[in-house]
Amino acid sequence: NEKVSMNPVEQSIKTKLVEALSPLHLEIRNESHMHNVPANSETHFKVIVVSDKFAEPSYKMPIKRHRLINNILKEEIATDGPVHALSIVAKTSKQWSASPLIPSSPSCRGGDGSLPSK
Amino acid sequence: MMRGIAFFCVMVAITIQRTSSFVVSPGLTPSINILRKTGKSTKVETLLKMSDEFSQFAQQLPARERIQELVDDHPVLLFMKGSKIFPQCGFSNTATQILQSYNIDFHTVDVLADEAIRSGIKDFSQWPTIPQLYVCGEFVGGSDIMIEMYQNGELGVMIEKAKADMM
Repeated sequence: NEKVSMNPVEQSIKTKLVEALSPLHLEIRNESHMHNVPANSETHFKVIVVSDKFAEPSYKMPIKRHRLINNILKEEIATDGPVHALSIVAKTSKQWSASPLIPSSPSCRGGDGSLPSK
Repeated sequence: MMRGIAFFCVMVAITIQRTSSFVVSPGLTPSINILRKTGKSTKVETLLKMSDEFSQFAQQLPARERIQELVDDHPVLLFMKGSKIFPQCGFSNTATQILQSYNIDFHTVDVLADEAIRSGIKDFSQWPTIPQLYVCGEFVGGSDIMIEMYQNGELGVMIEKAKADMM
């Protein structure tokens, strides 16, 4: 009695981030609907990760945090992978309680024609 | 026969003169398309074919070298989708808006116009997405990082240093 997942990419992202970062807060937003792709796509995501892994000195700089997350999700975001764009918000629990506002992702502007459109 | 050779030499000379500018300024690509639409004679078609072949050859020069040169030549450099005045992606647009707010000269490279640069830059930076910002030869990040650094003032500090380089 196997149920095929409706959102396999999102599930995979969640599993990998939880395993690697033990986040205190994790939000995965499928933003594909904001872009020029068919309904129910899993091509554009925003991930909001609050983890005290980022409190480690080597993860102080945002770029180091983003590279870490890129590495965790490297299959998903590979050129031939399903994810076309990944927006990342990566904070420590301290930073998160100080400022929990998330900048919203920008509107599409049409895209480059590489994905099937709506 | 001699007239044929002379004609050919003239054609080559004109082509070399024209195509060198196509290699340097990818922004001239739209004018090639206009020529393509209006060019009726076979002379124009031959020129266009030769310039296509030449620019394809130029594009095969290792992308890594071309990227390194761009990074070395421009203190503020953005690899993006589309151009400064016509971004073709929301994230690339955000990046250009942020840079424009500093009122500095910055150079953009349209990865949609050059497939070798598009894949090459991901390898060069070890970063999977576009846009990508380089300041003073250093990879800064994509649009999310630019937003964060813009808001906390860190990007402004980097830009000031780059401004000094531009003097």
